[in-house]
Amino acid sequence: MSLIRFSNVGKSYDTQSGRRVPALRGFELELKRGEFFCLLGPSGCGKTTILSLLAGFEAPTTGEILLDGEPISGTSRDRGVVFQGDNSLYSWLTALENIEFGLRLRRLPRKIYRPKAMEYLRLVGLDGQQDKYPAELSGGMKQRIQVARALANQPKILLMDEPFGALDAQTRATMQRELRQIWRATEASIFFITHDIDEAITLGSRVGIMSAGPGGTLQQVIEIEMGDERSRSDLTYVDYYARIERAVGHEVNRAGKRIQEPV
Amino acid sequence: MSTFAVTTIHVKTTWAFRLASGILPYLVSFSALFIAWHLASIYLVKSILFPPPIEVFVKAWELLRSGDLEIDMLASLQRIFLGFFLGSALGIPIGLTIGSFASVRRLVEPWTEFLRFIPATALITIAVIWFGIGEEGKVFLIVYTTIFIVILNTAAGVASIHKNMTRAALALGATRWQMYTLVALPATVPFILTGMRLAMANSFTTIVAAEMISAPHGLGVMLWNGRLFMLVDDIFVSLLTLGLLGFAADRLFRMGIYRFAHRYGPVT
Ligand SMILES: Nc1ncnc2c1ncn2[C@@H]1O[C@H](COP(=O)(O)OP(=O)(O)OP(=O)(O)O)[C@@H](O)[C@H]1O
Ligand SMILES: [Mg+2]
Repeated sequence: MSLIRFSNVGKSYDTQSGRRVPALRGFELELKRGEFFCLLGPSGCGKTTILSLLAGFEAPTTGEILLDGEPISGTSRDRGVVFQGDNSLYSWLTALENIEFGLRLRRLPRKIYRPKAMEYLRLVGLDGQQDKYPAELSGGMKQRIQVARALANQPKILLMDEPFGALDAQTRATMQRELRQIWRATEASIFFITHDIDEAITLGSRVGIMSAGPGGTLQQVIEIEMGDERSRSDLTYVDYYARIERAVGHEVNRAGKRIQEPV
Repeated sequence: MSTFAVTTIHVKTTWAFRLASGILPYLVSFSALFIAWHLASIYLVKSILFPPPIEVFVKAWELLRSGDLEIDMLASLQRIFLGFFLGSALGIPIGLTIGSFASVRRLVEPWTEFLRFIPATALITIAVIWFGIGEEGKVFLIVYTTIFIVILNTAAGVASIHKNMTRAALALGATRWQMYTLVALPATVPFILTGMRLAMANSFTTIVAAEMISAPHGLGVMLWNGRLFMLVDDIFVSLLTLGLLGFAADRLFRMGIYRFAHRYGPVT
């Protein structure tokens, strides 16, 4: 049985001007246990919307999402979330206290959650930074805390919304490598949103491409059959890139045309 | 050896320097105030109704020596702090609840929005009718003047919490109560403290009016008696003491915030 199953999932929002706009339409997808799924799509196509529905922050307007065969209703700690940007970190807690936040919510004794949080702090390479507050950390470090905070809770699946979007190319490459290692080491399932083709091929075991929004849907899923060593100069890599670029380019063009069209 | 000595001297000078540079601006600005006051009362107004600062200081010293000033100060401070802390203790949870639950906001907001426009001074008669002329009425007025500012600031603080902060806690498995105590409350601390500082200033303003209700002691009592018996010096001593106490209380509050609530990122 698949870990997660979206069937005909749609979501509409009521805008402030009183109109009802579709953000997502007829989304169908099955996520396998332990896979690293990358969702790729042009801006505004509904990627964050899917994450909100999957995390349980919002309810779908149509269709349903099943987790282990049970429909998702509301949030739960079996779906850990890494948010876009760093607004979700608790500014009054140190790096370590942020990481152990989820464990504390479970009322575990300190002598259990402290060492465990330290373990995840080390896992994301933040050794020695445990007593710093988020404001004292760089963008990359803050994203590492978010990852560690979500992982420490040992969720069934980790949902990540463009987590490395705001990082420089070098830091991003490092973080990508480490995330692959963590995924290998923890055997976690990961649902990873990005708008970067290179990132999707580097990380994913499958890449889903969405059609242009608003009201986008899943257009195509491509299996990435490459090992852990993924080099940009690899012929297979170049091949995947071309294929995905074609699919995405087509969608970006459509989105662009739509914007240029006079209303 | 020598390195050690040099380091010690260095530390000492910076410490003394920091103390001096911290106090110096206050010394300068207070001296300027008293000089201006002195000049105004000697050359400008020239009336026994506007005594120069020296005269007021002498009077204050007399009242201190006799112990009267201390009794009045303590009486007022006790009312202020009782009302201020009671008002804050009630206002913070109310503000948090209003900010956290839209339904509560809709229910309670009309009350707070209506009452906060009625000044505490306008409620003196009500306070007397309800609580009599004892301490309760006076403390009630201070509570009243504190609570709405604290509620308003706290609720605004909750409203300003970023959506992702709340969502992160939910995804980590937080219960309603945990959201309230572990996210809403700490995230709102800077707003609460700002509200409390404003409320403290209000309390010092309101105490004078509150002590219009017959009271044996208090800085307000000193003021009203001064008016009754034309003791201009007493009036000025009372004003000066109120200002200085308010100033000191605010400084202490800010120091306390800096010392104990630093991690919450307060605005001091
Ligand atoms: N709360 C909301 N109210 C109204 N419309 C919304 C809301 N959230 C999203 N939308 C609309 O839904 C569509 C999809 O938004 P979404 O945030 O899911 O896009 P996205 O794919 O994550 O884009 P990006 O890559 O830029 O982050 C957009 O057209 C957006 O304007
Ligand atoms: Mg998005």
